[in-house]
Amino acid sequence: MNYQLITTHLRENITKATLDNGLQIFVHPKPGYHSKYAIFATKYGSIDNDFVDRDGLRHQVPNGIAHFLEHKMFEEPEGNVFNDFSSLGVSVNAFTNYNMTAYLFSGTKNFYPALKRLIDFVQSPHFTEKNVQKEQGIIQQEIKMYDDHAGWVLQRNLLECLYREHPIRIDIAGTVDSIEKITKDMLYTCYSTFYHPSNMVLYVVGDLNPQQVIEAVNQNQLKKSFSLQPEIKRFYPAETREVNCAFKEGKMPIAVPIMALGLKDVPLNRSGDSLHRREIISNLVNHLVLGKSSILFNKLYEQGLLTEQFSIGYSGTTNYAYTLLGGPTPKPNELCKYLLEGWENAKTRGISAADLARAKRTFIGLYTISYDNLSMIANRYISYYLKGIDFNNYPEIINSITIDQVNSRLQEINLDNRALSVMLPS
Amino acid sequence: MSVFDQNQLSNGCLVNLSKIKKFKTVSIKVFIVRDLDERATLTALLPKVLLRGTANYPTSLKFEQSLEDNYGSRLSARSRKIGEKQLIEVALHMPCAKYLTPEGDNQVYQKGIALLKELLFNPLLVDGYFNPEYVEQEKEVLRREIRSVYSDKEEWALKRCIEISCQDEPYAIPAYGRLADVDEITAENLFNFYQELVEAANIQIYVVGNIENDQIVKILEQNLVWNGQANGIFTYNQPIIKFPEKITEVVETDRVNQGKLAISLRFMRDFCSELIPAFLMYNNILGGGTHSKLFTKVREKHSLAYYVHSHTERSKQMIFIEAGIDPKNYQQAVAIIKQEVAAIQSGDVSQEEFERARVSLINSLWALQDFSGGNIDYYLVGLLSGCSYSTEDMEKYLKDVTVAQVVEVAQQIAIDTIYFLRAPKEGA
Repeated sequence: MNYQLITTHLRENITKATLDNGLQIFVHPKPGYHSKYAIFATKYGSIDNDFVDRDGLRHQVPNGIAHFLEHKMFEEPEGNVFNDFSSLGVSVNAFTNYNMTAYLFSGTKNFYPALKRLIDFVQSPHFTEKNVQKEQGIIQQEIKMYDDHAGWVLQRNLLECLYREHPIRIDIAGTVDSIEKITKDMLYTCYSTFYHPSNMVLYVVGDLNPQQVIEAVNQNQLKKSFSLQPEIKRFYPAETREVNCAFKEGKMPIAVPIMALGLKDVPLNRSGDSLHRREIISNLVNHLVLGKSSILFNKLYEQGLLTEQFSIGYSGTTNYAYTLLGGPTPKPNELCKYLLEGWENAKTRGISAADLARAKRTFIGLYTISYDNLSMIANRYISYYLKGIDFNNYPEIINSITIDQVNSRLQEINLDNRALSVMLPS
Repeated sequence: MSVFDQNQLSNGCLVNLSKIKKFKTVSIKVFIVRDLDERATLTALLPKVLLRGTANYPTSLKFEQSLEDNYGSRLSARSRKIGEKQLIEVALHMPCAKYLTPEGDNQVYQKGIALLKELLFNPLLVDGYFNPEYVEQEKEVLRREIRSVYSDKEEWALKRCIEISCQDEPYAIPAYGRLADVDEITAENLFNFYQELVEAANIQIYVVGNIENDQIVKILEQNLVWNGQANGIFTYNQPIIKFPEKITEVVETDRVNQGKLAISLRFMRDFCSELIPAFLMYNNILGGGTHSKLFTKVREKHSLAYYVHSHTERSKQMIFIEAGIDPKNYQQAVAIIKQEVAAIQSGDVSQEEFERARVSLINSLWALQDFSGGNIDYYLVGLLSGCSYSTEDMEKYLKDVTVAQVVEVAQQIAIDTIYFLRAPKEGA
């Protein structure tokens, strides 16, 4: 086991430890907070559908299996684990996204028994034909719930347009049909491949003593044996630079149309600070071109073409990257036209040093404010960590970004590789 | 003891301050409190128009850029509803000066509060009233916002359930007002309403963060010059509570993939009843989490739903149950829910269920104190109800609740309305 103490710019002291079995632990003390929050995550998300298991066999598994597995972890031979957490007065939950599966709890009391319970249930799979069948009914209702969320369907349609092959185009939960194909044996295969401690990370935040937390986790892990884990081989299909389709329109019972415009980017083939830097620069560019303090946003707002709910965001890993912008609008196609014109104009005009300075000041302020939300701190850190990024380098990176880098990133954005997704009232 | 210190400003305002060292955000909230009534739409529109421009910052663009220059401070204004009160909540969030520069940039508060003052007291005027162009644009924004509730089917089902349950009560009025009332609003009548509010409305001011009280009080004193009414709090009007004689059942159709169930229940005691802690326990046992009767039966035992839960509206003495189900299981789901409501009435609450609800409530009570917004809301709801409990006292009361009291609460609770939104039957 080895330790490392990290002190961030905001005087947050974080202890990092690596256990002998490979598990990474971060303990982030927050004096004065009543809640304590723990998140235990594996680098295994909905896009990891094609992989080689520990015996060297390649598997292609049904869509939605990572999320299905997340649901099933809550079941043990003695019943479900929800009640144990309830008895401790803490609330437990889990989520699956494209890149990871995470199990978490937060509570003001009984931290150590809850932490032990969290690690133990995630490290003890129990799948039977019967409990797999029971879960299909519940997840079907979850999928149908999302099918009624117009924003969700809009985004899925957009990703289907942006990507031809990459599994990011597929819903995280899969489909009613795909989850019917899941068996208990497949769940065990996925579990044994992706839930080894060396593929996992634990982040704990609250009014806690780091040595005590690390010692408790270490003692727990020493009682369990894990065989050596070879590096996990994952396969993602080759993806073209061009989009799959330029436009998709749907109809749902909604009051106002919504639109999402996606700009497909070429993923950066490097992780760590380079990937992080690219994301921050992209966010600065997006903010300066179309944030609430931009001329373009305000002009389109005054024309009634977009609202406060309009948002813009960049997502990027080493195997996919895109910018997504959108929101409710009475005239989706017109808004799209003006947005593209606005981007072109921004490219011609460029970004000024004064505007960049203001945006940096804003980002630093928001970064400071963000440290008051324990679950956000932990979730953010590990989601970056699993992408190979150390989020604590954020202030240094942002301060080192130059106006030239921002302007060259602006020029890199290719407006031709775009797709528009529209949902109209039916 | 309250976590807030009350400070009387020399200009007549009362400021509630809470110095909390752990926070890196300094939050200032100003609430303008009104009874929920036929002027709800005016109240909903006002903050939108104020945000559009001030005399010194005539456009949102200028205003937003000034906030950004002040380390990305956020200033928002919106209409909210707590029980039968409508509130305009103006919130300013600033990064704590102690973390911005090595010496601490105290100008951040001075500049932030100056912008808050601009927003509240120095609106952009055209011919003595609000800018009519902004008013018309924001009316359209509000219309769209009101219509948009329809796009969120879970929210829509809950809204319909409230409208049906509370048809002749102020509570049926949403925080965003009513579509039919938007048209008649003008720059003139909205401005007159604004002036009336500034002169006579009930104002509540809160400050939370790692601050030096004297310093903040001084800045506020120079900027928030308010009326003499700011001191008091006008508590809720005590409503006449009618025990529902029979259950109202309404089924409506729309093209949804999943049926949305929303059920209202009424509690027959007043806001300050000694049974309030037992009322919170009742809700938690029924549908307050994964340990609750509804989650255990509807989801885990019968696999009928992904989400099923209940929440209290303490300021209206109501409980709402929500679930997403397949329409073919409607009768079965409703029967199970009725059974569970009846079970608590007949005293069927195990010691285990009871203790889980208790620890869960005590946990959320303390967790609220980790958020400046949660902190303020908890205190404000107490003031509006006319009976405040400190977190310590509430914990103690929850520890003292007995199963007998929860059963007593259950016997004072009745289902009012069962609302179901579903797809039309095939072939029908």
